[in-house]
Amino acid sequence: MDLSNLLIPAVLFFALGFLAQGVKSDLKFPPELAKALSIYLLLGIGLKGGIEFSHAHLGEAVEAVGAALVLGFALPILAYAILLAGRLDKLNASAIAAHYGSVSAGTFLTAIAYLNAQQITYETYPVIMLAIMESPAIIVGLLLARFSRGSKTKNDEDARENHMGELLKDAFTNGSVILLFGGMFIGYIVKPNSLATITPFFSTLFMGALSLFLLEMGMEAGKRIGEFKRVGWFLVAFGVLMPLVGGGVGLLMGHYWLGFGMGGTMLVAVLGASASYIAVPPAMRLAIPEANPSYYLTLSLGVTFPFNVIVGIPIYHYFAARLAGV
Amino acid sequence: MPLLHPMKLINIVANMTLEERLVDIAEAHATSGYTILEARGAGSAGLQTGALEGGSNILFMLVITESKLSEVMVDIEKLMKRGHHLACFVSDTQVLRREKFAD
Repeated sequence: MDLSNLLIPAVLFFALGFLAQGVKSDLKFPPELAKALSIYLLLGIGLKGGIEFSHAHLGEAVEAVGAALVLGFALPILAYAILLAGRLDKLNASAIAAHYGSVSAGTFLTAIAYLNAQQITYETYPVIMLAIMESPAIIVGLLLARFSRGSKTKNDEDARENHMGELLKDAFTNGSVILLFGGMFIGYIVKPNSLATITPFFSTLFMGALSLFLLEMGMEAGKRIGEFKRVGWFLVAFGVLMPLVGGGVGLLMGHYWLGFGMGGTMLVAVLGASASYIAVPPAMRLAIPEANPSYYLTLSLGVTFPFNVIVGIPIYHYFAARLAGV
Repeated sequence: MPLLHPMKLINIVANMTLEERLVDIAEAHATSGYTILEARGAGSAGLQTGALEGGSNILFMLVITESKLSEVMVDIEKLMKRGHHLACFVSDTQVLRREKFAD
């Protein structure tokens, strides 16, 4: 593993944010900037996915979608089982599990930047998988929570948390899902010469905007170190181990099922390893209000995200290369 | 000095995802309006930095007559009983121009 591969702007901006927080710098981002940048990044990925989809081989694309659905449904169940084995209560376990079945666009884009810097080519289907993987885990989380609550809430039938239809609607109309699929649809349907008018904004500037976003996310991750004590060491350890489990599943799936090369396999591993911090937390706030947001935000943003960006990506790269025999 | 009228001020700190439900409550009780501010802080739900939707709070402010207070509180408490993390403070306040506020 060559750690100099980590010397790319995305990772270094993230580290800078983390450091700024560590030295208690007075650097502050306007809170709305992160939200605005996440809208831009999700739309940009959606567009890219849609453009790729328009040149895709249909059979391969359908297979990638199938693999994304399997990952999205299976990983939260696996995470839930591990969390219950660690004696976490069922509702918190359901909410955390949903985060680990979903994906982090920030981590995925860092992985793309990492591959681009080393001029490693990759299959484009993982971009489509990223968009698909936003929702299944939310649905599994809802089902697990419903199962966990059992008959306890039957006397509160009017509670919105008990209306499955409404919760499913929330899972599919989630802001991130709208942006990713909306972007994909636009990218797919618009003719290349019309797309050229927005390319400077969504493509040329994209990695610069990602760097800004990662700078702020580095600060956010740094702020959450103080919460480790509150969430307990079992969960912090889970935040490091679960990405390795999910990444392992992704590596095997990318190589053996989808037949991707090194770059594509690494990206599927990153999809399996990453935990959502944009789409899933608000969905869980509404659907599993009993769970403690401090747990899932600290884990996905404070533990798993930095772990994947700094340690995980080179590990997935190493094993993807071994599988590909490079 | 112009005449001041006694009313109740409800301040609720909640995650921004609950905004729609709080607005529904305000509207269900025919209140004349509400004010929402973005908020940051920390509490039982951990750190709320305001950077991402799952970690962003709002301060929801509502001025109502004392006669409506208990029905509004029942609805807010329902949300809390379902597990939502929110903090609610009620205080006495005085308003100018009583006609701006619903009965």
